[in-house]
This record gives sequence, C-alpha cells and structure tokens, in this order.
Amino acid sequence: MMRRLLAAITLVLIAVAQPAAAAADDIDLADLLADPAAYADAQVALVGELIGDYGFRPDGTVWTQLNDDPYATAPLHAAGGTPSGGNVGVGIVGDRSMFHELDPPGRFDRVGPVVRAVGVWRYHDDARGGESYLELTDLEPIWPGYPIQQPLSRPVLIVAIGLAAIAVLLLAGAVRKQRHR
Amino acid sequence: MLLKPTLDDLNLIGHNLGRVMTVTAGAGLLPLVWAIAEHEPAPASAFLLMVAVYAILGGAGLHLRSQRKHLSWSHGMVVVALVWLLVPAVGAIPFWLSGHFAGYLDAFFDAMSGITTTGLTVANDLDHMATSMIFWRHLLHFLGGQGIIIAALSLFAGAGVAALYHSEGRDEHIFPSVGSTARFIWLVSVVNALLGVTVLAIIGTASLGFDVGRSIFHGITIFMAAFDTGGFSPQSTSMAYYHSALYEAATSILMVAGALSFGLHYALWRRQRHLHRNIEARTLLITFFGTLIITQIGLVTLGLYDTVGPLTRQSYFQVLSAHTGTGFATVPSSELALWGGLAFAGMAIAMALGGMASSTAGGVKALRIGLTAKAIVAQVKKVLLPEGTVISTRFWLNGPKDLSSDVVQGVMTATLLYVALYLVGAGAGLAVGLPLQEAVFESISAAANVGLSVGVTGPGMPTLLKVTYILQMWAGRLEFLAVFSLFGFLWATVRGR
Repeated sequence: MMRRLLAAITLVLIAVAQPAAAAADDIDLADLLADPAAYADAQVALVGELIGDYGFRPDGTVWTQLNDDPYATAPLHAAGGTPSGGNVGVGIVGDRSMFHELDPPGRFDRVGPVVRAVGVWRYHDDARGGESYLELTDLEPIWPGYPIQQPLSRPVLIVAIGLAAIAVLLLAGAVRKQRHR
Repeated sequence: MLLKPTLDDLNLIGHNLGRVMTVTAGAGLLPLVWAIAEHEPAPASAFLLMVAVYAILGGAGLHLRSQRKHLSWSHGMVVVALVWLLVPAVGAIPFWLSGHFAGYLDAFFDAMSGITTTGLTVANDLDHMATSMIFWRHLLHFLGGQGIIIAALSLFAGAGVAALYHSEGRDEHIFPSVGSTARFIWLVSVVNALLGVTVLAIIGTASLGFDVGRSIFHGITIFMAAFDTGGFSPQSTSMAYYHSALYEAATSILMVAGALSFGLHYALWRRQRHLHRNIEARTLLITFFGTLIITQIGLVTLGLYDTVGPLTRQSYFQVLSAHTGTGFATVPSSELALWGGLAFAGMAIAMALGGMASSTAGGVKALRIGLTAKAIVAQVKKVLLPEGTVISTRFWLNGPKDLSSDVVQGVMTATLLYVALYLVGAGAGLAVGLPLQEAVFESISAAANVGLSVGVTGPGMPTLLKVTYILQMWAGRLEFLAVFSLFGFLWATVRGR
C-alpha cells in the first residue's frame, strides 16, 4: 500500500516538476489514442508502466507495451485497486541499451517499472505495414517495478475444499452405481 | 398442444447434463494445475471451487436415472441450450473472484463470450490478470469452438448422441457414426494445436525475442483464440501487441483453418478432388474478397492509409478477422470506430456473413449465403423462362445435391433469424443512446460471435447492453433452434398438459 502511495505521489511530483520544455510534449495516452493522426511524426512523451514482455528482436531493438492507466500504480488484485475500465496501452520500441537497467515488465505477479517514454509517434507507418507505435529517443525510469501478490481468500479456499469433497463423494457414488448396473 | 414434461423427461435431461458437466469439470482441472504450477494460489482456489461446482452438478446429474435410453431431438436441444448456459455460469466463478470484473454479470459476460468464441470482453486490467485466468479464458474458446458436446460424445458412447450433436448447430456427418465424427474433429484440433502452437512459439522466440516460456504461453493462447475463431488475447492491445507481420500471417492461417468446416478439413486431409466445386469454399472466397474490396475502397476514401502496403496489410487482417468471426484486431477500437462509410459496410457485412457451417465460426454461414444466392437465381430464371419450364438447381457439398424447397425454406428461416437478431441488438444499442453505426457494428459482432469492437463493449457498458449481448452470443452460437426448444420446454412445463 505504502509503495503504491509513494508511486502515485512521485508521478504527481514528476508531472508538476518537469522542465517546461519537456512538459510541453507530455501527453496522456488516452488523448493520443483519441486522435492519433494529429500527433503523426510529432515528438511526444508518455508516462506509464511497461507491461507484458520485452521482445529482444534480432535487429537490436526492444518492443514492449506502455500502459497509461490507473493500474500502473494500483493493480486490481493487489489489495486496493478499483475497477477503472480496460487498459490503455500502446507499443513502444527502442534500442536494446535503453532497457538494460529496467526491472522486468508488469504482469500478474509484479508491477512493471513506470517510465517516461520520449519519442516520435509513428502513425500508420509505411515502413512497418501501417503499424502505429512510439519510436523511442529516450526512456527515463521514474519508479522501479515491484512484486505483488493477490491475497488468498481463506473463505473461498475452505468452501472450495468442502465442495470438492462433496463432489468426490457424488462422483464416486455415480461410478459405483454405474458399475452395479 | 404441448405435452407437459414428465419426471422421466427431466431425469433424462438431467443425466445428460451431468455427463457434460463431468467432462467440463475434467477440463477445469487444466487451469487449476496451471495455477498451481505458476504459483498463483488465489486463482488456484477459485479454480478448485469452479471444478467442485461442475463436478457436483455432474455427479448429481449422473445419479438421475430414466426409463428411456434414447434422447429425442427435443431432449437433445434442451440439454444443449442448458449446457451453453450452465458452463459459462459456473465458469464465470474464477473471473468473478479474480477482482478483474465489476460483478458476477460481467464475469458471466466474459465466460459466455469465451464459450461462444465471441471474444468481446468487459474485463478490467487484463494486462495484470493471472496467466492461469487468461489460460481459462482461452480454454473456454477451445471448449466452445470444438464443442463441449463433442468432447462428451467422444468420451461417452450412448444412444441418442446424434440429437446432442445436431443440437449444437452441427450438421455434418464425416463418418457414419457421430462418435467417429466427434473423434475426427478432435484429431483435427489436436494436430492443428501441435502445429499452430509450435509455429507461434518459434516465431515468438526467434523473431519477436520473447523468452521460451512466454513464447509458448502466447502460442497456446493465440492458437486457441485463432483456431476456434474466438478473439480473446493475452494482452489488452490484441494482435497489435506483437507488431509482427509474420505473427499476423501465422495467425491468419489458423483463423482460416478455424473457419473451414470439419468436412472440408477431412476432404483436404484426404486430398479429395472437387474441392473447387464446394459451394461453401466458393462462397467464402467470393464474400471475403468482396468485403475486402469494399473495405479497402472505404479506407482509401477516408484517407486513413496512404500507400498500398499498409492498406493491404491492415484491411486484409481486419476483414479476415471479421469474416472468420475471430475478432483479433491490429488497430485499437477507437481507431476502428473511425472506419465509417464503405469501410464500415465492408466490415459489418463480413462479420454478419461469417465462416462455414459446422466450423467454429459464427454468423449466417457461407453455406446459407451460397444456397440463398442459388435460390434467388433459380427464382429469377423461373420468372424469365417460359411458363412450365422445369428448373433444377444443384449444388456441390461432399457430392452433388438438389436444392429442394425444404432446404431453401430452412436456409431462409435461419438467415432471417440472424438478421432479426442483429436488429434486436442494434435496437438495444440505440435505446441506450449509441450512434447507429456503433449500435449496428457491436450488435453484429456479438450475435455473429466475432468480438471486434468499436469501443462500446467495456466494463462501463449499460446493463441492458450486457444482457442483450449475452443473449445474442448464446442464440447466435446455437443457431436458434436449441434456444427456441428450451423456451418451448419451459412453456410446456408451465402450461402443457
């Protein structure tokens, strides 16, 4: 809980304290996706959690996904997160060297590193068959990733074990009945 | 006058439901084992609960005994309609307990979407969902696509199985017995699974640079969603996550394989001649390229893609996904919403038409479209030719067949019912204030079990739409007859004599 709170405070502080030049390019991913053509080939900066996989491709680049949604600081299953809709994510690509120091990406068992991704928004890129993605020029770690775990619900486990025992008895009875016929 | 079902009828239905629930409990062990292996204790306890409920329903059903040994058609229809409600109702339990859904209705929505191979989702924070939970979502696709009934038929030989088989919307007899046909369907699926997962895992490791374990995970989930024309994805950005033309190409082949009827799979395996005469194959080719061209003209008109390469790749993948009823997308739903005019028309028609009969795809189906076209041509000929001219219309489907008026009537009825279902969903969309285009698109996507979305379907969607889409997915997958039979059965229970 404390770590998530600190992460949220850090994000707010960064948003407030960014130098003016950089802040001019900072945009919400939701705004970018609402009108992606308007940012075509523009330099933009996105803040969010790296999630899924780091795809280390043979050409020396790394592809991954950046999510700019509330779950970056409060995943649902790790105590406290509230449902806030689907994820808001986009593909980013950069040189392998940018990803050396980063923690593993976010998944069920961890929150991924929160980064400020600066790059050129490639919209319907001809060179890549019409894909849209952020081509990184800089990747600045803001907050490291950390492990999370969904707490085990004892009532669910107890009920599950109880019902499983009943199920075994019922099925065993049915099998016995079948053999007798 | 409908006859009131007797206790013996109920026992017979309950017993067969029990069989299917027992098989589903067995399938539910897979995500449980996965969760234990992946050290996901909370999901594991949820899966144990789910398996226990399936097994209790199965065990209780198996205890019921009927005097009759044979399932009648109406019994089979009722069993199948109930199976397709009960399996998602229980299968929703782990989703509900995962915290990723706002409530049980949302969890049920995703389970129904999974089992009907639709692929629409109302999940929150999919990207942090447990891998075992994602596996269960995709396994639901596999169970639904291959047919839970098929699984049960493969394991339980018994009288009256043909009634169950046909009630699930399958008309095909590849072999003389339904059991042999069911086993062939599983053989096709397993062979495709081994090939598909291997190819996707190799691309994932060698080309995308994922580690081996994750490549296999993506391979398994994407295979099940593609071959069963489902459309769920392990990541929120669907196929756009992979940024790979190669991965899209491999997935395309699986989507096409899923949209082919198992009869055609058999013909391909046996390298039979006359494939080019198969009415379904010809219709599917014509409608696919027709809708692709319409969509491309629309996209060019909208100015969304400037050059041929991107236009071809993006339109091809989206139209193929729509036509096969898969629902994968390489563009976000917010961008798909911008595909107006002819692009919208091309996509909507592709979704509405669907794949082949007796495949994992939804929609009206190529066979019905082809036969409808032939019937229209015959009708026009009848008007133009001299009075009294005898017009014989034939078509090729595993051999030459006559287009009888009974067949035409059946085809027309089913087609009209699909159109009505699309309109009902669109009406519900309009009722909650959606623009016409969005209401129509989402309704067709749900009823034809496609899963593409222009952003309407989501956790914040009005309850009326959630319930409407659930019913559309259910009725669309079962092709109406089983659904009507269940309503008739319930009516007879209350008002019959």
